[in-house]
Amino acid sequence: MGRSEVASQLQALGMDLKIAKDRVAAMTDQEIHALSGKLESLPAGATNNGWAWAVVIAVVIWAVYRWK
Amino acid sequence: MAGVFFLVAHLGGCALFIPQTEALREALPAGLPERLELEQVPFFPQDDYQCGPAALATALVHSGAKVAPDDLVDQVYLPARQGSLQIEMLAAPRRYGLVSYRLAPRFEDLLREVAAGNPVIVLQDYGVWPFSIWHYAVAVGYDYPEGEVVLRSGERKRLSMPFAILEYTWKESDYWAMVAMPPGGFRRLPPNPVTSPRLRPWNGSAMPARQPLPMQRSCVAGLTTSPRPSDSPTPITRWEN
Repeated sequence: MGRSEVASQLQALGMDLKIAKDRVAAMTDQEIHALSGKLESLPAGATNNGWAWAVVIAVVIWAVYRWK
Repeated sequence: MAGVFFLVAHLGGCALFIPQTEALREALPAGLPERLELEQVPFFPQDDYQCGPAALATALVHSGAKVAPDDLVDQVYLPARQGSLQIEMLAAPRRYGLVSYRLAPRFEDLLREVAAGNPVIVLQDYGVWPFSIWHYAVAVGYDYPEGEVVLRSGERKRLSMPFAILEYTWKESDYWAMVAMPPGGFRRLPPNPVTSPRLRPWNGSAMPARQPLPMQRSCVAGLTTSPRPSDSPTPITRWEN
């Protein structure tokens, strides 16, 4: 898989083709290889309500340890 | 929040969930100040799901790049995923003449980078199994006596998070962390060459494959891949995946 494939995968995920090509051009061969075919499965950092989830997790951890 | 850390840290069996926090609780690693905060690190509140561009701009601007989060959207944001991939986060600083480094998966190394003046981008997972909610934040300080890390995160300029909570969310990404700095920058500011081996400049070849989701939730997976530095022959060693 090469740059054009990754560019079209980016395009399939909503990128303008010109921007997708520009993005691919800035990557090394290894990066291309690592991304190819995995654009839909790799973790994508996104959320903006992290602190609220931190509260949830705090409760979870607390509950787990309290339970022991 | 400090109370939660206290509670979590003082009850038994924590090593399974937060092994590095447990180790840190024993003692502050040598040579680190008890608390510090890089107050000069800029803050870009994120829009919508664009924590990747916001976190990246935070680190890049601190390293001298003239860039805004909006400029980075086209470089690291994937509309259909509503998020940013790690590889693209690592690749983007190159466009601004900066070098990316992935940190070894160690809490101590994060603290050392911050102490050396480098904000550290971390990838956290706020989801509860089996769901993942990935989020980038930037560590800019810590307070060891309180057991808290200070993050630029989302819409919060200053989010104090207990070590335990950071580790719990961070280990899901195998403690993924990066810094971006001018070429040679880390030689000018060595974190601690003895205990903190780092790093080779990111060129895309060192990306550890993320294992399939369901069974990769071992807390120590990241630790076991990290070589011990004690037999290192050179002052600045490298972390190889």
